[in-house]
Amino acid sequence: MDVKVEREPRLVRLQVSKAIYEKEAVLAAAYALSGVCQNRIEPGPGDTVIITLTLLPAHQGRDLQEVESRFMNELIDQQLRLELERRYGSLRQLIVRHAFSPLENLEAEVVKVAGRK
Amino acid sequence: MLVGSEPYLLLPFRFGPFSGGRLLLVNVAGEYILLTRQEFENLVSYELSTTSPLFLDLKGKHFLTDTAVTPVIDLLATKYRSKREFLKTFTALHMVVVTLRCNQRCNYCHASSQPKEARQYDMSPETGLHVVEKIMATPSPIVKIEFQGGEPLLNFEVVKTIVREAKRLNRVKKKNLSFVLCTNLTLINEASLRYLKKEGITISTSLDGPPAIHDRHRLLRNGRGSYDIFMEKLHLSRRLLGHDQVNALVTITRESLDHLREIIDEYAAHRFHGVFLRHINPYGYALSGPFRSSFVYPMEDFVEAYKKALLYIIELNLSGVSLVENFATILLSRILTPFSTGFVDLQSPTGAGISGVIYDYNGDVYPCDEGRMLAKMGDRRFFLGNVNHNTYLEIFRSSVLQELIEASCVETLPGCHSCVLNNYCGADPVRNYAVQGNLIGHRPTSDFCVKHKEIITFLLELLDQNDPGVMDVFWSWITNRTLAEVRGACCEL
Repeated sequence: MDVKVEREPRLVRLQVSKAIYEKEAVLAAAYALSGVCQNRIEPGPGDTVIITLTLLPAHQGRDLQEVESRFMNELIDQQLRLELERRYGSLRQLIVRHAFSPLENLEAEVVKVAGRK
Repeated sequence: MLVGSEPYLLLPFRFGPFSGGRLLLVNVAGEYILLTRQEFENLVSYELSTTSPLFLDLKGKHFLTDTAVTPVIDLLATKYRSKREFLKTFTALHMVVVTLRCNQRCNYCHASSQPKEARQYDMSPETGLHVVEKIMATPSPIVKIEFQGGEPLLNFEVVKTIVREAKRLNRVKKKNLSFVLCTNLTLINEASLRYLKKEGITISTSLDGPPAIHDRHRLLRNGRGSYDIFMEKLHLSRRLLGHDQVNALVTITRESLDHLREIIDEYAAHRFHGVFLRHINPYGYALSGPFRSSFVYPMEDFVEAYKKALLYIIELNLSGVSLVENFATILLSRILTPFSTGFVDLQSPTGAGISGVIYDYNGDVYPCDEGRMLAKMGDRRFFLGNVNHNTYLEIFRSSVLQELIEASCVETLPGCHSCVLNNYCGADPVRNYAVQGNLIGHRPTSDFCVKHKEIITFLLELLDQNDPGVMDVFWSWITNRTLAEVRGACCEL
């Protein structure tokens, strides 16, 4: 199961698989919408997490469908960012380290983090 | 030599949605590229053909490499360091409030200006000397001292004391030392201008637009408008100091939003080099007075007006009127050049304290004018120390300043850390505190975030359109050349 959706007049409840979406991605996606919705995140049955997005009073007129799809797009993007960061996050750190305190043997450090020189 | 299994190695970048269903990618050096969803998917799943033009473009901009990695990392580190050159020098801008007295009573004044007779709000010569001692202790090889107020001409003797002492100390320090007098101009005369000329001091002043707009909020203490006398003194100042020695800032109120064209025309008519379209700070005295409705307006309204105004300024430039929009120029420099563009109000970490600092009339030190203003309202949260009682290190290594820096690195702030625009943006923890109640702030409801996201994206959209005329105007702004020079007309001479 990827996503299960329940809709009510002012809220949408999404049940997503933890095997696909990590906690960091769920939190970041919920944060991005926290100006529009009150967000509740709780463990779901099995290997899932439930996110309830409730429109804030100032945003009652908003299209909930649009909020739901914005959340899902955000969630996918955030999860992809985590995946990419795993691939090149150590290179990013190496670039910053080398920028402010040049490393004597950069090549050895590159091999360590990238497996290539 | 490649030893991994993939045909190429991805280098660090951030991404986010862009118009037309595309994705914007920005790498650690601030270079950017726009991809379709399909191209992006191909990129991250290593399915790009290594001979395709897109692959070569991505490789040229250091989003990936299929050759030796170490030289690329070395190059990216150099570019990253260049972009953050502003961190190397520490505090260069030192604003000194020599008095709170002012002959004007502008409706939006943050500075709690005092009447002309209230001399207890003047900086004393002794405090002035202590201020200079702290300023010249900065490790920065560049020092700019800005005299502010109130109206600094009302305590001009202390201005002179500070200039004299700074120049004396600089015989040994040998810093690149400059001075700016921030004045409403209305009290300036030939004698003070001759002094400024002799000492090489430039002027920064305020012009809100044509008479009806300028005089709406920039009033003399007798309640009359200041436009006419401002213009008379502007001409005098330019005659004695030189045309380019006087710059001006505009404050955009709600009423100004519908009149940005007239304001821009006013700046062009008086041949100012540039205009900086700024949203008024939504806090302080401006909020508490009867003119609240003039100063509190939705950021979205400002952004829409700004976009139209920017297009108008571009149009003017293309029709032969040279005028720079300074905010766009800073952002475009960040987007299009490898150079550092420290800008106190929009950098990461914040420029407050480490790039600019302000000394109040009584010697109190704050990281920025907004911090000083909050203290005037009774909240001394950002007080760093006092020049008469604290050492340089006590002030500039204060826990308050360290806290501000920790709370203003976009790489770690919620909402900013994964934002594709964070390389071009910055943080303002003092504003976060004043508007949202804490230093970190809440990006999804921050109008600071709305403003910068919208304006940076708008500039990227203009760059994406790649109109030759617009690009020439942008490059003329970034490189501080005329449009003719950018177009190579100089070579035809």
